[in-house]
Amino acid sequence: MSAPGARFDALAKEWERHCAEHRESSNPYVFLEHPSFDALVALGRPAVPLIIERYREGSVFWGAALRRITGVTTFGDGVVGNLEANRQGWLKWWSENEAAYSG
Amino acid sequence: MSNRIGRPAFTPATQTGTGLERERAARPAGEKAPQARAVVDQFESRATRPQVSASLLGGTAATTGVGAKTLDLQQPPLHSATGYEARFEQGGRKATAFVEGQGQVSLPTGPGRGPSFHAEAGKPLTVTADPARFSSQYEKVELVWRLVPGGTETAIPLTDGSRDANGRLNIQPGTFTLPPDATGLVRLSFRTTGADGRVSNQWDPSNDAQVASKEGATVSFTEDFKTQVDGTLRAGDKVQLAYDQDRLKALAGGKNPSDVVACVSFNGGPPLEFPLDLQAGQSGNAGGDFLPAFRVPFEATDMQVWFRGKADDNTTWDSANGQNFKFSVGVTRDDAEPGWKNELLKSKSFPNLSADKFVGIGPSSERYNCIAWTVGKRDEWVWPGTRVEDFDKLYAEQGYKPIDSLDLSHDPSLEKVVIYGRKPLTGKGPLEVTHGALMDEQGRFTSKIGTQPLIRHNSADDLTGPSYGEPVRVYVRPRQSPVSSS
Repeated sequence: MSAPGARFDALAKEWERHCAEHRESSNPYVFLEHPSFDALVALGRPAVPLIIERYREGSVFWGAALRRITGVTTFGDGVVGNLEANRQGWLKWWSENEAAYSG
Repeated sequence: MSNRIGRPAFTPATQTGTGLERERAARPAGEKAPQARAVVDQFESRATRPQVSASLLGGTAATTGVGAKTLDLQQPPLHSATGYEARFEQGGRKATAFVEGQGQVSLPTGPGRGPSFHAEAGKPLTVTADPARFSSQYEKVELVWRLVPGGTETAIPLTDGSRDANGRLNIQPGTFTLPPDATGLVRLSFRTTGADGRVSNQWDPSNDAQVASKEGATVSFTEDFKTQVDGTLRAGDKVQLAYDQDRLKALAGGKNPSDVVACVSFNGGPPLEFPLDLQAGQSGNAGGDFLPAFRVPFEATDMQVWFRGKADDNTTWDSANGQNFKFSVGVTRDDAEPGWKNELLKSKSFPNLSADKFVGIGPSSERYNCIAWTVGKRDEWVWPGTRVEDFDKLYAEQGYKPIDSLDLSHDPSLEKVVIYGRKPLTGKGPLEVTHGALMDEQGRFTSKIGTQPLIRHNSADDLTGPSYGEPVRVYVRPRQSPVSSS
């Protein structure tokens, strides 16, 4: 695994652990308000393909990270609303925009 | 068992009464009006049921008294499965339902990540496997099955020691009958014994079969373009689809449809396709129409159904004008999956929540949270803010009013929501709201616990603790309709 990939993987695991530790929470901002989430967003565009792969089967709250990195507002803020529909929307968006984030 | 599609007198839901107009316009001129047809109703479930309720999204609930019935001898009979087959082939799976003396249909096998097969409580399941799946080094192959959760293992020999020309063991079918009260899954695995005596087990989640329990609902799509739900459509239970193919015939301009399929989607997911035409097979060659029965997944909150068939070279749809027939799925039976309860008992967030104070009524889910649950949504995450005022506004939009006291007494005429709050962890600032719970008709509370299971608990104080704090405000409104958690 490349260094950026390893960095992403470590942060993603840390953030997912944080979410699991607060899984009783209904306040979605509890999931997002953590240094690991901020660090994931700070990775910027190179993290988008890696997030998409996690997002396919993982937490619906990955959409909030995509929203912050890409600036795309089409699929809401990623914390309220129909988050599963937003996920499908993001995955379709990815199929159409993948080239812009590759390489 | 054979049934006919009944047409009891009832008031159709708004959706079904209006949404079909375009498709119904295809009915050929001169065909007599559906209401003029005599009706038949031989559904056993209806015979003893004084009332049924249909809950159709976007329409009014139809509460139905079963009216007088007369006979319609033109109506083709529907056949329930008399048994099921799970076939493990090299590189694939085949699921089949058969009707003794009538034929069989191929059932959908799913995406491969979960159960591939279907079974029904009280009916036989035959498991067959391609001999090539097993090494010629094996001396014995057994089918091991058990109900999940809670069942005990039973082994059925699939081999008698004989071998084929390639030296592989001949694999015989293994058949067992599911208990009449079976629910959940049947776990299917193959236990192999090598020449060296080593025993191993072959299993993965896609080996399993979903069990349609004895209890459940029958959704009827009658020739007069009405839709009716008999029984309770509930996650984890059985649902049967009784479809009158005369509907498609009418929509196809009077042409008899072929290859008729019922498409079923839960929570907007990829549809499962159930053939409705029995095909000739080992179980007979008389043909007829199939009455599919299958298990509603625990995760399901809504079900959409539509039908498709071929007439000449054209595909004809019966889909409520492309909107699909939509049904709300109720929560599961109490503690349908023991793991839900165990998960919360491990939590340190709820020191008051002991095993005798709650039951699990839905799985962990990120699709909705507690606040969404209190406002009747199960496909959204709802969070208006953390201040009490934010919740005052949210619930006011739902017709609730806050009351001055924490009156959590049961009043059958009122719906109550209680919100919880605690001081910020910093110790400064206003109270932060953490959770909302909805009181049901019996005065108990229902709570979706974050991304964790949906539970029914005896009192609001069951969730008091370091995570949620304590109840801080109660909202009330006149009770409008039965809560879906009952």
